[in-house]
Amino acid sequence: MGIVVNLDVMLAKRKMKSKELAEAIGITEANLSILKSGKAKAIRFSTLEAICKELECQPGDLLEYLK
Amino acid sequence: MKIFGPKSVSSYLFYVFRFGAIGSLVLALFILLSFIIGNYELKGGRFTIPFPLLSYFDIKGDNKTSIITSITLILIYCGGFLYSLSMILKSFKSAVLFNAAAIRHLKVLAIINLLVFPIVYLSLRLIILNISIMNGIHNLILSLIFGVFLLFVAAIFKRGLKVQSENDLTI
Repeated sequence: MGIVVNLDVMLAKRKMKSKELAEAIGITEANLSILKSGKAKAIRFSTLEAICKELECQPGDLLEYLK
Repeated sequence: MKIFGPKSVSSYLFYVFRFGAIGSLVLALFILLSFIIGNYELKGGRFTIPFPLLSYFDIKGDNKTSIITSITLILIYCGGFLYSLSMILKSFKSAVLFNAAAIRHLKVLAIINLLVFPIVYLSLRLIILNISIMNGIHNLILSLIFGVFLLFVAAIFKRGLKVQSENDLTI
């Protein structure tokens, strides 16, 4: 499995829509969708920081390692 | 002036090479058709093919099968070479430089230089014209060097495509 992105879980917990988060952190919905679907090859610290700030969570809440 | 992308040097060179490719193939077809339908004059063992619209321009040569075959073969090869070159430039016209089409066309041109040209060159010299291969061997060497160089460029583009796709998927 490897690294799993739990962004959709955090969005559901915060009752926030993808569009709202994308606008708040300044990335496109398409890129956010790539991140949510796990197709992304890498994530910038600046993006991770912005998401954590907006969702009031830790990086560990968003990223998880599964064997 | 831009080298790659729309309205760039690549874009303009694409039209130049595509025009050259079509011109070479049309000329080869015209010569073959002229001999088939008898649109030529014979004088002193030499043929003359007049051009339909350009009266001051005609094609002359020894009336030998080997000469006619070699002219046609060279024109067809030039047409194929220029067409392949134009396809590479067409792929450079796109907004994304590193793309699968560019790699494919670079490999095709490399194969043309490494395999097709030596076959055409050797068959022309040894079979059709029956002359030494040493006179003009530099063309063969240059073609082989160009072919190897193109393989390296294709490999660089392959690496570039990988880096680009990874960069595109970095959020």
